[in-house]
Amino acid sequence: MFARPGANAIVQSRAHASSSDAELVARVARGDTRAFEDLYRGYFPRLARFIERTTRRPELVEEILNDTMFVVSTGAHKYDGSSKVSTWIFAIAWRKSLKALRDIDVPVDADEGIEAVADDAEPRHEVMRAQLRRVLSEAVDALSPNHRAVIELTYFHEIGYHEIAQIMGCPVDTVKTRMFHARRRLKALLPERLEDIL
Amino acid sequence: MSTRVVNLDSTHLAVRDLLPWFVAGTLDEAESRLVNGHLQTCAACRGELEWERQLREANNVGLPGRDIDRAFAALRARLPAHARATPSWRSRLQAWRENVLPRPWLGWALAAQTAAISILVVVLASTRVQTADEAHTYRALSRPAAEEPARLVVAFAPHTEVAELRRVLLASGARIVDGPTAADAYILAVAPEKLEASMQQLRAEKSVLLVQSLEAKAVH
Repeated sequence: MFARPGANAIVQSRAHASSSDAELVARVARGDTRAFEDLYRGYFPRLARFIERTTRRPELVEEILNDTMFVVSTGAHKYDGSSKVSTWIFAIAWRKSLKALRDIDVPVDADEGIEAVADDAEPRHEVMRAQLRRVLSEAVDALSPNHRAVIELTYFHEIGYHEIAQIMGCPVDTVKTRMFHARRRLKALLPERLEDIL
Repeated sequence: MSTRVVNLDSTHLAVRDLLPWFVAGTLDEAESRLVNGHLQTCAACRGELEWERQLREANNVGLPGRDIDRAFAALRARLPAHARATPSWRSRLQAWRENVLPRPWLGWALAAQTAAISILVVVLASTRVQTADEAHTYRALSRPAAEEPARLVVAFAPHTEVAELRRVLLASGARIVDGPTAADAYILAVAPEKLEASMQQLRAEKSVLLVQSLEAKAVH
């Protein structure tokens, strides 16, 4: 498990990165291919994870990611600085993910297979540590892409709900509601005390 | 009495909704204060908080690595020609103007630097005849064209931003050649003679959690 930097370090790092990322985007807008490659390599790990965890379609990740960065490359001049660069790029990635899912007829609102996963997960308190990842993965799989995106952006990418609302193009209250429903569903699928299997 | 109950309930509901972002550390100061205050008196929310922490830890597992070079090459092939090419002289001039014009002293410094470079070019040109013979030195076909770079594996803190990543790489003289791996690590390449210095530099960085050379150690 990776150690986490302190809150102050994260804030300072993000503030610094935000202005630096904005400079990179400005250079991309001027046709600087080196700046675009820096931006691409910098965002690749985070975008790949976000897209994979949200769509649950590993085979589509690189295509969606490249569709996203294509828009960043050709639309960099449209970035107006009203949001963080990361918010702008994640919002594009989210829209591209939704489009890819719709293209293969995956509903983005409906949860799927919850009962089936819940049954598979029994008996809950006897799940071994090694199975935790699979159990959680199945439980999160059962959520809709909308719910998975809120969970991933909140827990892993540590993005506040205001920014998540910007990324997903929905009201702040919708973000909170999606998170509440996602937590409630996960609770129904996972052991009450995750530490029992940690 | 009923008003007080309603207020308590509304605070409880508000805090319950904020717990995921409280755990992630992304609430503002006022919201964090509200949550902290409520947690002192609400056992249900304390239990919920513990569950949230465990869920977050379980969620934040690494994923298998992907070939960033291959993915980037695929995108480059799709980009318009002007975006694939190196920046045009117009773009570079525009960037130069934007950077230099607001600072007139920098223009003078650059002029002086240009003059120095010009002198250096003349000096180098005059010595080129002497060094030309070295270009014809015998070279065995089996000799490698260039020394293979040394490789090392590095794990960054999970939320390291792009700018920090670039700074660390530039400072260490290393470049990413693969990753992220299944354990969210990256493979870096560095000139063999700079391996030790790069590793020391990387280990001194707060955003670097692990540095390990992939080169076999020499047996003495």
